[in-house]
Amino acid sequence: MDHPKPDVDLDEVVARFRPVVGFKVRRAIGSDNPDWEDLTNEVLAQTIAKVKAGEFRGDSKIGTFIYTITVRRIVDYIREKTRIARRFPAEAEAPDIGERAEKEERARHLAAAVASLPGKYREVLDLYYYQELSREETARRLGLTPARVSERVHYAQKLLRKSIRENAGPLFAPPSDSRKD
Amino acid sequence: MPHPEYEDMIDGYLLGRLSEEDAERFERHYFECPECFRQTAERAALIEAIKAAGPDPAAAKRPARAAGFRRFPLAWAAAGAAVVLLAAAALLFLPRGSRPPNFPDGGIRSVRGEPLVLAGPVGTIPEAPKELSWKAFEGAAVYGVVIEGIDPAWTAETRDTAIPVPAEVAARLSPGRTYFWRVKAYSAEGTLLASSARTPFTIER
Repeated sequence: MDHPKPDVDLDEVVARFRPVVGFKVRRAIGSDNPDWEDLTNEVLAQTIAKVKAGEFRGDSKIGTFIYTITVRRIVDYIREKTRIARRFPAEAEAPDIGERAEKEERARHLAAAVASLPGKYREVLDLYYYQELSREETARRLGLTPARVSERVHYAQKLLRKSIRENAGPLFAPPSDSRKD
Repeated sequence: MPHPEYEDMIDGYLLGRLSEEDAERFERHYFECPECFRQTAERAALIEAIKAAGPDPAAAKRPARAAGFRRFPLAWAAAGAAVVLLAAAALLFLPRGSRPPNFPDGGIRSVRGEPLVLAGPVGTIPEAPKELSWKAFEGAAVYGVVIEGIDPAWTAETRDTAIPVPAEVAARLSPGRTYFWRVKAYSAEGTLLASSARTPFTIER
């Protein structure tokens, strides 16, 4: 066999891309949909198989390679789900009680952290993210420049960083570096 | 921050404002750039925390005017309340056993945990839609609709749960292209109550 095998550390790739694939899958199928974890594992397993089979040439980036596999798997999943929903009456999926309770607790901690922010940060976050006004409209209502709105968002995010890391659950990927800020 | 042009797109992506092509471009980028992914994921967690926390109690004290509703005088608030009362009265007189309309599963995203459900159009349709319709949202006085994918995007407001698509807008919708529409529900004071997800429709060629 003569294909040039690119130097891919599969363990490193899987570890690095698990949160990225998980994030994209959850956005695509709904963060409340419990199938996201299985789908993520399938995408990573496919990636490993394809790299071992020599399908990754190394002329594109591994991220693009994995993105393609991810999108394809999502499309197939949605197609399959639609087909099943058409043929069988929709049955309520038994919710995982333990997971739901855990999720609600994390949401409470996060909500409490947001509520404890100083008022000037809360108001920016409320208008910009809760009410989803544009940055310009948010600025106008608060008598700020749009740049100042962005600054406050960034700073609020900084203030909440610890709480987010502890409570965002599988949605948040821990940073690869442990830079303190 | 290595890629400022992508940093500017994070909120647009997470709040569903990017076109399909831009959203894909953004996704391809964060699959390749760990730092941009980290920023995106962290922002997503922040937004989720905000939604979970609910509205800012201090907001009630701030004079709120919804963007784009500049001609939204106090008379509307009173009229809005009257419409809600009339609608509630109408519901009381529905014959018992009448089945609620069947709404497709698309288009649910909640701001406060209650969904704003779109009725139609969804998916592939034979011709340009004559109207957009959605399920009433409790407490809503005004709905804002937008069709994206045409330039400029078409926006309109209504107190009903349906709005006709003007002929000149329908004329701008081409077969084979995917368009997105969404609805936002506002209270009489102009506070955003709920926002539907962007829902796609495509006109058959």
